[in-house]
Amino acid sequence: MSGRNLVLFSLASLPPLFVLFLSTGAVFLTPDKLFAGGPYSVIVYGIRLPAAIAAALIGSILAVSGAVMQTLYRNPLLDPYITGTASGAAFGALLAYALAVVGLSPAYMLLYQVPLAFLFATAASIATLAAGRGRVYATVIGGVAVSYIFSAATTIGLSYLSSREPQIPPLAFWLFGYIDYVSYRADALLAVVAAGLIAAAVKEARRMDLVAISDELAHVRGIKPDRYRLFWISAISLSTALIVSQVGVVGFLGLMAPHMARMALKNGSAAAVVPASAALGAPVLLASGALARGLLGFSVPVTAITSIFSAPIIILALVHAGKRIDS
Amino acid sequence: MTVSLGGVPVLVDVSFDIVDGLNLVLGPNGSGKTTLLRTIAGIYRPQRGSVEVDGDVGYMPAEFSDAYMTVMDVLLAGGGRPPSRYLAWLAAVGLGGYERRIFSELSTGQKRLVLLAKALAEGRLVLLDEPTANLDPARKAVIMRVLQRLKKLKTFIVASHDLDLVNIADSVVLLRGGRAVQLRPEEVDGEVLSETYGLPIEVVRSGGHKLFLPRYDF
Repeated sequence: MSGRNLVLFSLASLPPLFVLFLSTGAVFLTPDKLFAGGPYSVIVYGIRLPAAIAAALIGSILAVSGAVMQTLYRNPLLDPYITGTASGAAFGALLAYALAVVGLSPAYMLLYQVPLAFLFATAASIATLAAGRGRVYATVIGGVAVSYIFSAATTIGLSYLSSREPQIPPLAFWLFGYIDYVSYRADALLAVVAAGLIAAAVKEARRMDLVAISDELAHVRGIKPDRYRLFWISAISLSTALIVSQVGVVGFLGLMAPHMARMALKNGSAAAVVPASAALGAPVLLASGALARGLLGFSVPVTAITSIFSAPIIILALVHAGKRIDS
Repeated sequence: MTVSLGGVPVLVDVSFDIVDGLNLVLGPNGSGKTTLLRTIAGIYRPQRGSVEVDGDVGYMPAEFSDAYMTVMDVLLAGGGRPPSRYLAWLAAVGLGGYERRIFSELSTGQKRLVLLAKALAEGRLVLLDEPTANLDPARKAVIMRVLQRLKKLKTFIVASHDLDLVNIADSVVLLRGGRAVQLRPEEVDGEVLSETYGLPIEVVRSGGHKLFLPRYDF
């Protein structure tokens, strides 16, 4: 499939997936009720539409983040969930509630929640990548360990805080994400981040490919590879921090979308995979979100759905690598 | 020029003229061949002295990743240059029509040729780090023929352990203990090589070529 067809296919799938997402939730709304207006319009336009917009934007952001990480670190198994970036962000975001408990005004929480989440997201990513030292599987194992640490800290912190602040989102939100309640204001912020990140990543894709081929070649063309990687990890950590503070931890999008793009395009260059991932991320998370919100008949966190589809990719990669070593 | 890395001097007052054609840099492991190339390419900055190079520099690293992308993507990586120029050089190294092939699925020799085409398209001065390492004799012969042919069009600086390259060189720089000696290829004899590598190396002429025979004591 050509890159253009893939993008067109993704865009064409958006309207039906939006309708599907808007139909699902605590009450299932058939399409006739969906556009009937009246009492349903509060649910549809007040709650579900902003959540659907968030799902599409978050899907694109995470998919591009994964594609960028995989290119720059030459590791097809990286995404902001695997590297512990999201778990670090969750811990930082929860810490913001702790500050609210000790007296900082919750009215300004957005102002300090995202920076705190960003701080811990960056720390977690750097810890993982430093532990992995460029080795494919060691980085994944490092990420698992870092995620465990931050997930445990989040669980402990939440156990302590939830007795004092009952309106803090539940543990499943911090560990597995719910795309159910997002404000239009948060959508606007997500849209700005999505536009900036996608535009920058598409524009830089050829330079990322050079870093993927050789650090030396990148140097000759005026790119300092280590600084370049750190810049992108920071940008991805910031995007992840915003996402996690709004919908909790959404995993594996950055793994799923780029892998689908690579398989469809039969090409793994960032120049091909970055735009394709941006296009695929939105429908993939809308579909996963719709499944999570009640297509099964009950509501589950969204990462529970994305994990089911993505973990096999990792297992396949392991089996594939095992074969190569055996033969 | 003098280049130190991490406070340790690697190249000390190294000075040589880049001649038209192929400049071969020889020397034992750790003698600073790669450091020299990287300094000329602008990756390292000399603490003393300077590098004077006319125009852009193309570079072919000794090691590179097995990128799963098309040959065209490899050529265009870095961005900002027209595809037509790359395709012309891809044909010049004998890989015309390979642009849609997947880079990671090519042989080692073909991957080197792709990166050579990239370096040729990107610079008037072309720096090659170990272009013939890990190649079987036939594949090595392909690279040598390509270099022999293209050295009329570009200036090459080649860092290598491969003494056979003396046969296509126009100038030879020997690096020893961080210092450099520049010789004409015909001056490269057994004596100077034995001294450089600390091992007796005999040079035999055969069919117009020099054969290099190190005497391994084992």
